[in-house]
Amino acid sequence: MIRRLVVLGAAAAAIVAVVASGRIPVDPPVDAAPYAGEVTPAVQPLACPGPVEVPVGEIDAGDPDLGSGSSDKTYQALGDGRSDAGAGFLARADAAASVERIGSGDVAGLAAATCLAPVRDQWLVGGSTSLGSSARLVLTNPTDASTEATVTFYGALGPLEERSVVSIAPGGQQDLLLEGTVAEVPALVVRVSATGAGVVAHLQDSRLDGFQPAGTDWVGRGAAPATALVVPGVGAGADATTTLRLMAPEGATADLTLVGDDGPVDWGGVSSLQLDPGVVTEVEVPQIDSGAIEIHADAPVVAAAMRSVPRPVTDGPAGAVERDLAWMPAQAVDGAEARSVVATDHVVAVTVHTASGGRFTLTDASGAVVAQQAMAAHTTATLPVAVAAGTVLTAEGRFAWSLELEDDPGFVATLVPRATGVETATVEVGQVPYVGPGAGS
Amino acid sequence: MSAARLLVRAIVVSDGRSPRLPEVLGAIADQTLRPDILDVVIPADAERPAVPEGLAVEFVEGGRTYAQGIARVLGAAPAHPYEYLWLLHDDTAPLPTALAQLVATAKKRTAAAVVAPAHVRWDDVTRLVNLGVTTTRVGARRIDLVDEDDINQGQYDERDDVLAASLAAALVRRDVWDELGGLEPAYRGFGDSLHFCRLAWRAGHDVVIVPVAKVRHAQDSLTGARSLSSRDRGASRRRDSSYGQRRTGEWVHALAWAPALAVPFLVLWSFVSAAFRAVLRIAQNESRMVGADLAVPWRVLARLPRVPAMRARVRRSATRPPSAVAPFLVGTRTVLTTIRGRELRAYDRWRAQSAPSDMVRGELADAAVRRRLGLGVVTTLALAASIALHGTWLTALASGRMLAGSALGVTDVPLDALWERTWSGWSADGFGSPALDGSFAALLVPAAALPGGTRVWIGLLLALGVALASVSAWFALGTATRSVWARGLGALAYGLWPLHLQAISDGRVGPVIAHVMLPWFAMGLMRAAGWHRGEAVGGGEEFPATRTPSPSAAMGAAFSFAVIVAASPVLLLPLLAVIVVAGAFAGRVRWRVWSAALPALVVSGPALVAAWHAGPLTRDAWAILARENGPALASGVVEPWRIVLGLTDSSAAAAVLPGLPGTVVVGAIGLVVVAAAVLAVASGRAPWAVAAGLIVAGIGVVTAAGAQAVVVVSPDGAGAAAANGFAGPGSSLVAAGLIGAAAAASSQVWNAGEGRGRAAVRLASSVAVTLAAGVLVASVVVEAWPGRAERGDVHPSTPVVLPLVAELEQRLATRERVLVLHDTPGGVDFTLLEDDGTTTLTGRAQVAADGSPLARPGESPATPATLSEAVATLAGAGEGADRTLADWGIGVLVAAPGSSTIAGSLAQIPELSLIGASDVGTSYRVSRPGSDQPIARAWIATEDGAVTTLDSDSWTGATASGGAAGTLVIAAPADPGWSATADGSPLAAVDDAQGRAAFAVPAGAQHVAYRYEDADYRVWWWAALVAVAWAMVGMIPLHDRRYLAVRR
Repeated sequence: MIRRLVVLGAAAAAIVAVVASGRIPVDPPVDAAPYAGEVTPAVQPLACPGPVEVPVGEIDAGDPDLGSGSSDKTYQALGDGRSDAGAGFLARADAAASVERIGSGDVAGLAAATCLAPVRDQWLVGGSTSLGSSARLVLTNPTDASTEATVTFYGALGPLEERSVVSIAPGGQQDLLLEGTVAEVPALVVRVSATGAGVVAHLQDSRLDGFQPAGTDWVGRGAAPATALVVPGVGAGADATTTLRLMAPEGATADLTLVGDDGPVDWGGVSSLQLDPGVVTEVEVPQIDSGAIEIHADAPVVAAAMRSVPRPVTDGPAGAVERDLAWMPAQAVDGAEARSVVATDHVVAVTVHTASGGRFTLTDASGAVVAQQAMAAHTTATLPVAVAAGTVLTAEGRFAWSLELEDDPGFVATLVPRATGVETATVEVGQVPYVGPGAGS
Repeated sequence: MSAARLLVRAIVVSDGRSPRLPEVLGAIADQTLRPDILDVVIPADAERPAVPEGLAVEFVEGGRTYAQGIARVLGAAPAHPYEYLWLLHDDTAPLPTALAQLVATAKKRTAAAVVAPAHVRWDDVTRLVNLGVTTTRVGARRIDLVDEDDINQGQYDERDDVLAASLAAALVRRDVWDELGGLEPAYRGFGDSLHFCRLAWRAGHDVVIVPVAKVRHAQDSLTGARSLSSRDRGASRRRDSSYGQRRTGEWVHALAWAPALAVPFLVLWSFVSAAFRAVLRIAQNESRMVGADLAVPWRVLARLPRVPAMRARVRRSATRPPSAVAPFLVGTRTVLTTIRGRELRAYDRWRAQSAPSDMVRGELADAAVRRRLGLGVVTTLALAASIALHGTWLTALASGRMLAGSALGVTDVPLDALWERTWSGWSADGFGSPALDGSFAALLVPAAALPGGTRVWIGLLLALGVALASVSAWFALGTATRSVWARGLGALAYGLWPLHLQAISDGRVGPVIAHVMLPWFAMGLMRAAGWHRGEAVGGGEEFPATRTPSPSAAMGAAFSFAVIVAASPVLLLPLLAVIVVAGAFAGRVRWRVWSAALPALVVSGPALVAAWHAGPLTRDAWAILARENGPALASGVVEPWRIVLGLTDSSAAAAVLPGLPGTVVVGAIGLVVVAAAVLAVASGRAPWAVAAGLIVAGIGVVTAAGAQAVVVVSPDGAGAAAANGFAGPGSSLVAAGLIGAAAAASSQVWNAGEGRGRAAVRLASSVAVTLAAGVLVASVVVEAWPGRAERGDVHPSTPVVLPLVAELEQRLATRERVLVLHDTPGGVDFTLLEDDGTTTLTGRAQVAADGSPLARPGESPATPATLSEAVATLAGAGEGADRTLADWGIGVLVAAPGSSTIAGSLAQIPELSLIGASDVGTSYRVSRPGSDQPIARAWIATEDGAVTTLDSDSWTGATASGGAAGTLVIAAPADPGWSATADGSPLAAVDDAQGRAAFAVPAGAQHVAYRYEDADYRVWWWAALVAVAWAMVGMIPLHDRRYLAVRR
C-alpha cells in the first residue's frame, strides 16, 4: 500500500510540477539597439559626362543634311576647379554644368547636364533603346578609389534580367551603350549601385525619327525612391508633348496631380494609378503653359518627365518634323536646403513649384536677387532669368525648381539644381558574430 | 660457542592492557622445554596476571617502551656465558614445542645470533603471519618472505638463513644483544627487528628461522590495538593506524643502510614516493590514508637527526662487508612479483566472496553475451542515426573543415586561447573583461590538447552527439534494468531526444555535453548508493544478491556532476537536490553519496557567491545560476508539456507523413516515453525507482521552465546576443527521469506473473517493444528525410575565417585586434576579433543585466560598443576613426567578402593601407597616428609622443626597452586585476579617459611588465582543480578488486 502511495504521490508531484511550471513569468531577452550614426562623407568633386556622342558615329555623308555629325557645335563647360575625367570633367565647386548646342545632324538640339556628386545608389528615369533610340550610360568616378558599379534595368514588363557590372578607375569614366545590353526597351529606368563612395551616372538619350533627329538630352539622376515627388517645369508650348515616366520598385498606387500657376489643374483618369513592381509606366501629361506634377504614392516611386518639342524641318520631306527633348527628373518635396545651379548660355527662365507656398528668391553668388515671386501653396511659376553664363544661382526653401534652356530653332533643355550642403547619411552599426565567408550575418 | 646446556631467559614485555597476557603465560607453562628464567615486564599500575601453576615468574616493573622493558630486566641480571634471550610480547603465544625446537637449532647453529620461529595467526595456527623478512637493495621497502595468511603446509620447512625475522618470540644471544646495543629506538618499534638482524649479519653472526617452531601472534601493535582506547577496540581495529609508523621505519632503515651520498636523494625520494602513494590512495578512495602517506616524509625528516648516530653504530659493529648481506636483498623483479601476488590474492578473495554456482555462472555468461550483443546493436544503431542526421559533418571534418554557426562561433579554437582564458581569468572577448569562472574553457582544454584540436573533437561531439548520448544511457540504464530490450530502447530514445537534436543543430555545446554526461552521473549515483540491479538469474533472483556501494562510483558521479555544471550550470541546483535526497535515503553510505556534490559546488563556487550577492532568492540570482557558459542563443519559450515531450516552440511536420501535425511527428519519442512512464506507474513495479524517476522528471520540468523564463545571456557590448535559458538541460533531466522510471519498472517483467497472466504480459511487452522501436526508427527517418529544414544553423565551414595577413597580426607580439566589417542593408555590422573568428567555446565572461561583469558587480567597463561611432565614420569614409582604432589596439580592418560597400569606403581613407585582398576578405592596416610604431595591445607613450610597444598576450605583456617617463596603456578596460611593474617595482595606476588600464611609468625604467591577476579567481581555480582532480583519481575503480595493491 505504501509503495502504491509513493508512486502515485510522485506522479502527482510530477504533474503539479508541469502545471506549476506554466505559471512562471517570463522575461524576454532584449538585445541592445543598433547604433545609428550620422556620417558626413568626405566632399567629393562633381562630375559631368562631357559632350554627347553620335550613336552611329560621326558619319560625313558629304551632304550636311544627311551626315550624322555636325559642324555646328558649341560645348560649354562651367564650374570652378575643373579637371578632365575621361571625356568629361570634374569640378571642385558647389555647382557645375555643361551645355552643348548641336545645330544639325542626328543629335541636333540642346543637351544640358548638371554635374553631380557621386552616390552609391541612384536611379535614372529616362532613355529608350527602341529602334532609332540610343541610350548611352556614362559613369564617372570622381573619387580617389576605384569603384564597381552594378547597373540594373527596368522596362515596361518589369525588372530585366540583364545587368552590367562596370569597374571605374579613380578619376575615370566608362560608358555603356544600353542598346547593346537591353535592346528594344522603349521606356527605361536604370539603377546604378556602386561601391565605395559611389559614382556619377548620366544617361545620354538620343532619338531619331527616321532621318529626322528627335532630340537629345542628358538624363541626370532624380530623387531617390520616395512616396512624394514633384516634377517641375512640365509646362511647354501648345505643340509640345510631355510624358511622365513612373516606376515603383516594390509596386505602389500613385496619385498624380497637375499643378499650374493658379493651382491644381483637372487631369482625368490618373487618380490611383496602379504601378506594378518594377514595371515602367508612362503617362501623357496634358498641355499646360507652366506647371508641375505632384506625385503621391503609398510606396516609394521614381519618376521623371520628358518634354518633346517639335519644329518644322527646314530642309526635308514635307510634313516631317524634327524634335528636341528635355528630361526633367523628379525632385523630393521635403528638401528645404539651399540648392544651386550654374547658369549656362541659353538659360531663359526658372520654373518653380511649391507645395507649401512662400516667397521664391533666386540669388546669384553675390546675393543679388535674380528672380523672385511670392507663391501660394500648390502653384507653379515661370520666371524669366537673364544672367551671364557661369553665374551660380541659388535658392532656398521648399521649392522644386529647374532652369529652362531654349534656343532657336526650337531646342530645349533643363538644368536641375543640386543641394550644395554636404548630405549626412545615417549608418546603422551593429555587432554580430563572424565565423567566416558566406556564413553568419 | 658450544654448550650442552643453554640458559634461556624468557622476557615477556606487556603494556598491561593486553587481555592475552594470561594465555601467553599459559603457553610458556605448556612448553615441552620451559625457559630457565621467566621475567614478565609489566607497568607498575597494571594488574598482575594470574600465573599458571608451577611457573616461576619474576615480575619487573616496566618502562615506557618494549626496549626499555628489556633493558630494565637485563640491567638487573648479569650476563651468563651461554645465555639466550627469548623475547616474548604479550600477544605472542608459542606452541608447546616452540622453545625446544628453537633451542635445538640454536645448539646446532652456534653462529646464529637470532633464532626465530614462524609466526602464525593467533586464531588459526595453520595460517602463516611471518616467516622472515627482507628488504630491497635501497632498503625503503620491507618484503615479507611469506604471504600473510598463507596456509602452512610445510612448504617453507627447508628455510633457515634469512636476512631478518621478527624478534618477537625469537631466541637472541645475550652477548650479541649487549654488543649491538639492543633495539634501535629510532624505529619506534616498527622495523627495529629488521635493523637488528641486519646488524647481526654485518657483525659476523647469522640469523636463522625455524619454520617448524610456531608462535601465535595477534599483531596487536600492527593493528593499532594498543594505541586505541578500549572503546574503539574491535570494530575499528585497523592496521591503517600503524601504517605511517611502519612506512617511516622503512625509510629510516633505508637512510641507515644506504651509502652516505645517497641519503639526500633518499629524503627527496621519500617526498616523491609519498606524493605518488597519496594519488594512489585517492584512487583507492582511502582519503584517510592520504594524510598518513603525506605525513611520512615529514616524519622521516623529524627522525633524520638520529640517522648519523645509527650509521655510526652500524659502522662500528660491522665486521663483514655490505656484500655479505647482498644475496638476501631483493631486486625490482621480486618487488613487482610481490605486488602482483598481493593483487592476485585480493582478487582471489573477492572472487571467493562472490563465487557463483556453476548454474549461475552459465546464466551470467549467457547474460554477458546478450549484454554485449545489445551494446553492439545499440552502438551500431546510434552511430547509424548520427550518420543519417549529420553524416555530412563527419565528411566535412575528415576533409579538414570545421563546424561553425552563429551561436557556436568557430570551433577551431587554439589550445593557448583556451588555456589563457581559464588560467588568467581574463576573457579576451571584445576588449576583454574579468571572467566569473573559467570552467568551460577548462572543460574544453583536453579537446584542444588532443591531436586535431577542438575542430575535430567538438565536431565529433556534435556529429556523434546522438551516439554518445545513447551509449551513455545504455550503461546508465544497466543500473535500472537488465533487460537488453528495455536498455536498448531507452538508450536510443535518450540519444534521439528531440531537444538534444536541437541542441546539436544549434551548436549548444554545453547542453550537449550535459545530455551526454547525465547518464554517467545517474549511474555513478546509483552504484555509489548500491542501488544498481544485479544480473537477473534463475527465477527472479539477482546476482550478486546484495550489491556493494562503490566509492569509485561516487567519485565518478562527482566528476560527472562537475563536468555537467561546467557545461550547463543550470543543472547545479536540480542535481544537488537529487544528491541530497538520494543521500538521505542511502543509509550508511550517505556521506559518500553527498560527497559527490562537492566538486560541482567548488566548480560553481564563484557563481554561487555572485548569486548570493545578487540576493539569494531573486530572479537575478537564478539567472546567474542558470547562466550559459558557452554557445547560447535566444529560444522560444514553450509550455511545460512541450518540455516533457522535448519539443521546441515550432515543430516542423514531415513531408513523408502529410496527415500528422509537427508536434506529433517530432514529439513521437516523447509521447512513447511518457506512455512508458505511465505504464510504469500503473504497473506498481519498482515503486521507489519509479517514484524517484518521476520526481527527477518533475524537477527537470521546473528547471527547464525556470531557465527559459530568465535572461541568461545579457548583452555584454561585445557582440553577444541576449538569450533566455535553454529548456534542453531541464528536458534532459525529464528524459532521464521518465526513461529511468520506465526501465526500472520493466526489470524482470518477462518473468512476472503466472500462467495466462505471464503469457499476456509477454505478448503485451513484445508489442510495446516493437511499437517503440518502430517509433524510434520512424523518428530518425523523418529527421533525416532529404529536404527537411535544418533545425539549427551549425554547418561545415572552412577553418580559415580571416585573411592570413590579418590572422598573422593577431599572433604577433603586438597582439593586434582585428575588426571585421560587413555590409548590411542599413549600414554596417562589425565584429571585433581576438582570434580567427568569433569564439564562444572559451566561455563567457558573464555580465549582469546592466552589462556589468558578474566578477565586478556595478562596474561598467568599456566595451566594443564604443567602437560604433568609429565604425560609422569608417562606413562614411570619414576621418578620425583611426585614432579610436589605434587606442584600442585594432591594427587590421577586414572587409568581409561580398561587402564591397564598406571595402570601397575603407579604400578611400588615406590613413588605411591595403595589405591584401583574398576570397576571405580585404584587409587594411591601421597606422598609429603620429608615430611609426605599429599598433599594439599595450604600449608606453611618452610626453613627446614617442611610443614603445610591449610584447603581449591576452593578459600579460612586457618590454625590456623602456627609458623615458610616460604612460603604459593597455588596450583593455581598467580593472583592479591589472598590475604593472617597472624593473620589479609596482607602478601606480592612472585614469584613462577612455576607460583603459593605464599606469604611470617613471623615467629610466627598463623592464616594464603588466599582468592580470584576480586573487579570488585564482583561489577558486585551484580549489576546483584539486576537487575535480581528486574526483578523477578517485573514480578509477581500484577499490573493488585491487584494494590491496598498495599495502595497508
